[in-house]
Amino acid sequence: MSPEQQVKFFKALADASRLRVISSLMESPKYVELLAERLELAASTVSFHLKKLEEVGLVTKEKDQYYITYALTKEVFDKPLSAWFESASVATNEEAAREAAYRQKIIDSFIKYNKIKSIPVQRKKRLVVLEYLLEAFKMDTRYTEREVNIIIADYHDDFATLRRELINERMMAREGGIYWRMR
Amino acid sequence: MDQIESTNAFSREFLEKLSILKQERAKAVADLSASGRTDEARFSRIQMNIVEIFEKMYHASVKMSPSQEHLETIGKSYMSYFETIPKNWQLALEEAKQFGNHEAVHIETLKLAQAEAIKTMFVEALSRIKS
Repeated sequence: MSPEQQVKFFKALADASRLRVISSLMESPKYVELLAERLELAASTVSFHLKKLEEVGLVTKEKDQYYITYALTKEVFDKPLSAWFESASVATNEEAAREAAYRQKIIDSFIKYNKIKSIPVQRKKRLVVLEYLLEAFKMDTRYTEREVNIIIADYHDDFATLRRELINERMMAREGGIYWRMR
Repeated sequence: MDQIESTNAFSREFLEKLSILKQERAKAVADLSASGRTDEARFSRIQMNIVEIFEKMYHASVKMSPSQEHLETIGKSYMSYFETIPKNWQLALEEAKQFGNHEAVHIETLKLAQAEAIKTMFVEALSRIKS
C-alpha cells in the first residue's frame, strides 16, 4: 500500500459514524436501509459512508434479487494492525507519508475531474501538478509537439506554458520537435 | 394592520424561522464534531451556509423592493433566487454524477434539498398570509 493509500485508508476509519457502520457489519452483512434504521442515520448518509469504506476496500457489496448488501472485507479485518505499517516507505520514513498527504492536498486544490483548474504560482505546488500531468505521457514513447499539445490541452487550455514547464523541470525532453518523457 | 406593518410582521416571522433553522444546523455541527462524526458535521455546516445565503437574499429582496408594503414584489424577487442560485449546484451535481464523484453528489444533493426546504417554508408562509 502506498503512503497515499494508507492516508486515505486511515482517514476512512477516522469517523465515528463509519466505525459504527463497521461495528454493525461485524454482526452481519446488511443493506443500506437496515443500517440506516439500526444506526438512526439517513439512508443517504449511510450510503455516503459505505462508499467511503468501499473506496478503501473495507467493505464489499453484493446484489441479490431485491437489495445491495454490504459486508466487511474479511481479508482486511483478518490482517493484524502491524501489517498496515510494514511498508518500508511509511514505517521508516514518516516524511513520505506527510509528502503523500501534501501531494493529495495540492491535487485536490488544483485538479478537478482531470482538469487543471489553475497553474500554481509556487514552484513546489506546480511540480505536483506537473507530475500529475506527466502521467498522461507514456515512458519510451516519442511525441510530436502537436501530440503533446493535444494531450496537455485535455487538462488545461494553456498547453504552451505547461509544455514549457515540463521541459524546464526536466520531466520531458525535446529534440528536433520531438518530445519524450524523462521520468 | 396596514400593508407595511403586515409585510414587516411577515418578514420578522419568516426571518425568525430561518434563524431557528440556522441555530439547529449550528447545533448539529457542534454535536456531530464533538462526537467525531466529522463528515456529517461538515455537511451540516454546508447546509447552514445555504440557510445563510437565503437569509441574506431575503434581506436583499426587501431592500430592492420599490415599496416595502408590497409583499408580492418582495416575494417575486425572493422566489427568483430559488431559480438562479441552485442552478450552479445542479450543474455541479450533474458533473459529479458523470464522473462518479459520490461525495460531491451527496453534497450538491444536500444543498439543493436545503434550498428546496427553505423555498417550501417561504411559499407556505406566504399562502398562510393570503388565506
